[in-house]
Amino acid sequence: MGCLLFQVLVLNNIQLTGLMNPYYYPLFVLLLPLQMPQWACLLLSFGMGYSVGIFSNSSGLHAFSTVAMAFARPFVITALFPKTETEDVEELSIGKTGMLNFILYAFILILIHHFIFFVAEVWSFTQFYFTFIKIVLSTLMSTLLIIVGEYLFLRKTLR
Amino acid sequence: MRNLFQFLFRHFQYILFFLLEIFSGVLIVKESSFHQSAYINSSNQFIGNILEKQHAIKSFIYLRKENDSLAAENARLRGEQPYSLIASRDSFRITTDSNKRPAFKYIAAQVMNNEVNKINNYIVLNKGLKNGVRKNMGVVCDKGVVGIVKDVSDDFCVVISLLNSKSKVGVRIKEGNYVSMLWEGYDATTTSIYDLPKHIKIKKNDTVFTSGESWFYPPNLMVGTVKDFELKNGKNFYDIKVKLSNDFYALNNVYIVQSLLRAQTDTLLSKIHDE
Repeated sequence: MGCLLFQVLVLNNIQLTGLMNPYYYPLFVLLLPLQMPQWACLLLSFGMGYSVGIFSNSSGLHAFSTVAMAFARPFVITALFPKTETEDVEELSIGKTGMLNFILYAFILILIHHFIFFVAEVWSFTQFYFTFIKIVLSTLMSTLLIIVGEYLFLRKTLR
Repeated sequence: MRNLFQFLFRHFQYILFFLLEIFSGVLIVKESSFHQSAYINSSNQFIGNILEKQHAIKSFIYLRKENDSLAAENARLRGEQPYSLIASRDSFRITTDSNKRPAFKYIAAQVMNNEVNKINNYIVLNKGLKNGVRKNMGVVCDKGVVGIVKDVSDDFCVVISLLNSKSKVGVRIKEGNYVSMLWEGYDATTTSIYDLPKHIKIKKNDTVFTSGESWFYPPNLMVGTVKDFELKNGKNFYDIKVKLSNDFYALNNVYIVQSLLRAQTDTLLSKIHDE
């Protein structure tokens, strides 16, 4: 919920040229508990994407890309982390997986989300390079934001 | 039958995935059509109230700037009042001009939420059905065109910004030549015109006005200036880039245009289409 409000009320107002619009709310999907059944993850991601989209009249776009991201999540997790590592972990965080692994995990999933989102937004290949640069820059920016946010959050819980 | 259920159960997550994606796909198509809107959008009362709270904070920060721009507009309007005109003859009288009657009424509104960096940008305003706002009214501000009202609730409305891939404004460059102005999703300060025929001479910095032919906006409202133009080999039309006079990054006070005559032209046109 905090994630949603932060995205809608603060981030939607930050305008770094037309090339970069970072999204923070994918963090919600990244941090869903590992033991949660996949169907619940899909439904929750749909709800998250839909409610973020309501604020900018694009709930379909956000829901579509967030659900795709949630769908890809288990595959990315099994590819990145060995079974033994994730067995007794409830949810992923920097503290448990290590900085680099978490960055990679976040980056891949955010790239999937942003790729689908921006391509579906344009819905044509006429502005291919523009869209491509936009995807890359926004993905880097979102990942940075999420890692920094996660780092701050981590510090707070350890104290 | 049991096998079927077993199959469904085992692949439940995939089926759910496809169902959700199809549902969102339908939503995308629905939202992107010009006149139809999804069930919940930002003209919804609840969402509107949240955005209004946010606006209260934002507008406080920008208070100074807003005051300046309103004062400037007031000064300009004051200059057009009868009492600030000097008589050019010794005897005169002021009459209301019976030759003219009002064609447009304006509803002042404030921007609750403004987007500039998407492909399809929308603006939320704090006026709705209660204030007389209806679908398809134009929205302008003191420096140019803003957009067209897409959806109205009791207290709020959603405007399709000029910065929207589906927006299309009837304009003319200097005198005559009605053309249409499009936005291409790159840059919040620039729009394009592609249908001006090549036999017409234009220059850089020519002014672009609204044509007013569709009655969305009042005619002769300045929209921007010609920033750059090009005539590609073998083409019959110019590629023109227009620099908008309106700064979409700093949009706050706007006016919703109620055209008093558009209803008539609309009914006439719909009669033709029905036949």
